[in-house]
Amino acid sequence: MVQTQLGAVKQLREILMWRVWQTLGESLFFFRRHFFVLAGLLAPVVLPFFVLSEYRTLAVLHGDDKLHKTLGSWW
Amino acid sequence: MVVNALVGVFAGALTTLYTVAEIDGDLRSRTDLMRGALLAVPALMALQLLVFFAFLGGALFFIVPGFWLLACLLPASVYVVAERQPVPQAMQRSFVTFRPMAWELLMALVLAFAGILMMGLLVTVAASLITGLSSLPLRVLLDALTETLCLLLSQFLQVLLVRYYDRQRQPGAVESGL
Repeated sequence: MVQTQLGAVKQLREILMWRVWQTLGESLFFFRRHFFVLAGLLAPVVLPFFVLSEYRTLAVLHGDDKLHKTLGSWW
Repeated sequence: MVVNALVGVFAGALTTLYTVAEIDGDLRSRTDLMRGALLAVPALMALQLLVFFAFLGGALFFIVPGFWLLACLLPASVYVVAERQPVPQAMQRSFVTFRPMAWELLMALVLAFAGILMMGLLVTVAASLITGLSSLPLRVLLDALTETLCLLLSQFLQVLLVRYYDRQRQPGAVESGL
């Protein structure tokens, strides 16, 4: 019984200390290596939406209701 | 709000497709990736809604089962995007495949999320120091750039999910409990 529990604890420790960190490390390595390619893929699509969204938020904060009405509440 | 959510889902789909293509050594054109990601958006929205309800259902039983279900079902997005599986099949396959390693996946996701949160906070604080001094048009652009950078950082979660998906499809992965 004690042996089984010790085995389980050992297995758990192995999982916690090794497999998670290994996968995280591999993912991080991939992410770091491909970061700028991903940025080049995503930014041209995403940035215009965010600019419009930010502009709308600031316009509303400054009391410019026209843009808010033009874009609608979806933004 | 809705548009921002759609942009987030699209970004996730694009990252998944790109990561899977890179891992498989499959050179796909930019247009191909964009088209694939765009086509996956409706299914991904449906999937996110279902996973959210599953999480809520699980959370009713003292919260912990909700997180367990979340860990089992989150990789379904990779099946939907990379293998173009219908949402119910993708959820079922993800649940069956990732159930034995749900806690490990959850721990990896929590660690990754904590890292992203810290990086995002750093970026936001640094950007707010700059934007506070700048004029209005520049402020809009800098805020949008910060948001883009945070979205880009959050794509690490998707890369992590693809890495786990890749690990379980290796020969012998099911037998060894991977």
